[in-house]
Amino acid sequence: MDLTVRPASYVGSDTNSGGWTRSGGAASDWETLRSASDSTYLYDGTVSGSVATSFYTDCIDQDIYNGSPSTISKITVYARAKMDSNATPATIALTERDATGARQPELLNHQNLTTSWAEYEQVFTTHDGGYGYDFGFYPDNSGFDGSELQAGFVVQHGTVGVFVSQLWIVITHEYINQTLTAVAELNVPAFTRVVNNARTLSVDTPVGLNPSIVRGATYGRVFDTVILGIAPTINRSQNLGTWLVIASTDSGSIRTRDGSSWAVAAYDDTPNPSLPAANPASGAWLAQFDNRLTLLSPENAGFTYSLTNDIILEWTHKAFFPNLPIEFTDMFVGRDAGNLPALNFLAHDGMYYLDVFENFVFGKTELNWEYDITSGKKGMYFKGNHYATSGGQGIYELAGTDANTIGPSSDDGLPQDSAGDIVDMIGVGYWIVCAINGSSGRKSSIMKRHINGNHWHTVYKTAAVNTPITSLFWDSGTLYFGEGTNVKSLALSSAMDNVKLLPTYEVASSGELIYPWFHSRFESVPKVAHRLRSTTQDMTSTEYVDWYYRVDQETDWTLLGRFATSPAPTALSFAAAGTQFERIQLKSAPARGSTTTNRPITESVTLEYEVVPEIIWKWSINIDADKETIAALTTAVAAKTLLPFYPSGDKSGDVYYVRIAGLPRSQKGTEFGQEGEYKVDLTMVTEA
Amino acid sequence: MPSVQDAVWLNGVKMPLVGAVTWDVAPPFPPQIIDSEPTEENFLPVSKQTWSDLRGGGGIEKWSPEKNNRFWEATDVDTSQATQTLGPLVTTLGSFGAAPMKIIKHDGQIWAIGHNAISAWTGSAWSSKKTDFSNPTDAILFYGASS
Repeated sequence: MDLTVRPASYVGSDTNSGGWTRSGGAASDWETLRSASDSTYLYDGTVSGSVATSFYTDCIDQDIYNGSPSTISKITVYARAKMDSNATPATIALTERDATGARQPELLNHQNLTTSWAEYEQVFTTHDGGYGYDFGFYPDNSGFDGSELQAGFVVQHGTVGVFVSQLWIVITHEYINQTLTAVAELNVPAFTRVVNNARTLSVDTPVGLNPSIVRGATYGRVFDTVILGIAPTINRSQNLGTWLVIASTDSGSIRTRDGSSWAVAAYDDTPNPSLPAANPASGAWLAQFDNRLTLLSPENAGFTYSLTNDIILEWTHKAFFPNLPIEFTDMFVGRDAGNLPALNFLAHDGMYYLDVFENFVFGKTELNWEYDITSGKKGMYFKGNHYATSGGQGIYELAGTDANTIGPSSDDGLPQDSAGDIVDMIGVGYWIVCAINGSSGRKSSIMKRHINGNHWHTVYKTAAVNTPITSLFWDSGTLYFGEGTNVKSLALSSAMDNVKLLPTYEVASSGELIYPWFHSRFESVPKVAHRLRSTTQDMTSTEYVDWYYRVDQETDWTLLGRFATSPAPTALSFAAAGTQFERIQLKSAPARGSTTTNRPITESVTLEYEVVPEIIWKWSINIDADKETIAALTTAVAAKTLLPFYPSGDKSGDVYYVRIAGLPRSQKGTEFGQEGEYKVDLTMVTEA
Repeated sequence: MPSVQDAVWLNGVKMPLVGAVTWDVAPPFPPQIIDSEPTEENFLPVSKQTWSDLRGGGGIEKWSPEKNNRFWEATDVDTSQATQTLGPLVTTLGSFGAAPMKIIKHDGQIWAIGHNAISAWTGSAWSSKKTDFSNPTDAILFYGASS
């Protein structure tokens, strides 16, 4: 804002004694010259040589202002002057000084005068000595640079007379904030747009104050050539830029370019179409569709959309669309059955499509489920398929018209301390990345699944419970996520999945990997673990893997030992006699030293074990058989069930149930019938 | 004094014995005939269970042969490749002070958006941009008319 200060009363004195004289109707050396008139002037008829002849106004006091401190960015001193002959030209240099007399160098910019009245100006951005101006806006305690200002001029050269009819100052302010307390000469230009910035100016003393406001927008409107019988169209080209738009369940939507200024983004112009951008529209979910920004209400109904490529001018609001008495949980752009872009929204019972801008209809897609308040928190279209969270750790994939469940809750699910609800999901490279909020008492985690894979890998898991992961964002190799009240980041390359090939890849200081319970192929058969072997890379005394195990029960882990060399560290022993187990579970705990790019690598791990069934006995006996014994053996060998056998010959002793495995014999007929010696091979078929 | 054993009982019949009863242990497995290159399973006397590639992912609590490339759970361990190593280092970006409901990149900076807290990350600190926008749910960038 510019403030023009012209003399309002007697303001001058001739500092060149005897040099300057009054002329015309001047009553004193220097008097009020408020109009752009040259009828009165100050005159020096003997400006000569190189001797500077200077003249200054009286002080222009700070009392003409009544306002809060502001910043003066520059002072421009103006004068109207001429000389009376055209011999050796005289010059004029405009200057200023404070009340102490400190002033700008006089010879800094001399300008040649002519014999005609002309306007001369000089801009100053700092006071003498490089100090900024505080004139007129601070108490008179600033010392050197003063708080009162004088304007003046210096003339020299030429043996001619010099006329100066006017001298005034234009002070350019920034951030002015004042209250108008007296009538001022204000000429407010007409506005063609509503501006909600109240600007009120005031001065105590009437001065020439001409504020102006200039908007930097450029609008080019081009009317196409009108062809007879065809209505013309208006093509509007505007300045384009990127807006950040944020929506809220209870505060509508806002927009900003750089965060320094904010405005309401979406409006409901329905109540008064003639006054666009008057009623902020509510809405929680945003999506860009068909070059418009769309806004969906948090529940029941309400859909608002902008003009094409313009979120400033006008918005259209559909108060009763979509009409669905349920909470809406997300909105995103996907594809319809014809592979055309389609707008979708999620609710707690499924994914819906929105046919907007012409038809305004909506309906369910193939992805629908029973009402689940944990469902539908995120949807996305990624690599040709739709994905929607379906509650808990469930994710539905819609491939064409086939719906598949692909969430981390498949197979045996997740450990109890990792259970929770998926709250966000993004696509990175060929990975689907989801955030699981573990809720109260549980840890939260980030997991990823290759779109061509079947299962999930943990990217990150919180060290503590009750620090929910709430949001995900990926940019240029870095995954950002919200955890608790912090934002954290980790490296997640989309181009190089094999992180150990990236020399700059930084890793966590330690981790844990728990293997499945191992029963071998012989469940319910005793086994004995003997040794654990591993093939490794890059293991040292500081980059190593500790191994733990537990047997049969989910008890505390027992430390087995450490692999700290590569490629084949010494096997770890489960004690010299081995460790018996029905099932065994292993846990590896890799760790690194202080260098964040060093890490131990496990290529494989091998458990050496024995399957040790209970003993199955077999016997071989020779029987001196007569015909009755032969008959009994014949019956026994044909028996289907097992035979009780007392190898001690004492029926009160141990009994074994056996089957006759072999019965070689030699026999012959006697007067008592068939007799002979039978070799009987007996064997148990299962443990006693 | 125990008498000399001269019989055994089999299937309820006492059978006179010639000589002694011979005991032996029946081998639990039949002799194997290998007609191809031996594998780890043929290595005697112990059996071997090897885990190498775990790219099948987590979520398997009980092992089975067909799911030998699966594991139960992992924390800060990268299992997505044929070998396993530590997971990525996590860095905290200052103290944002609210639960970030949305993170987005705008104007060359990472912005975090939470309840009454909208800030941009300068690279070393959060620069607050707005503190009176409650319960945000969504954020998006839109390229359009700037004025």
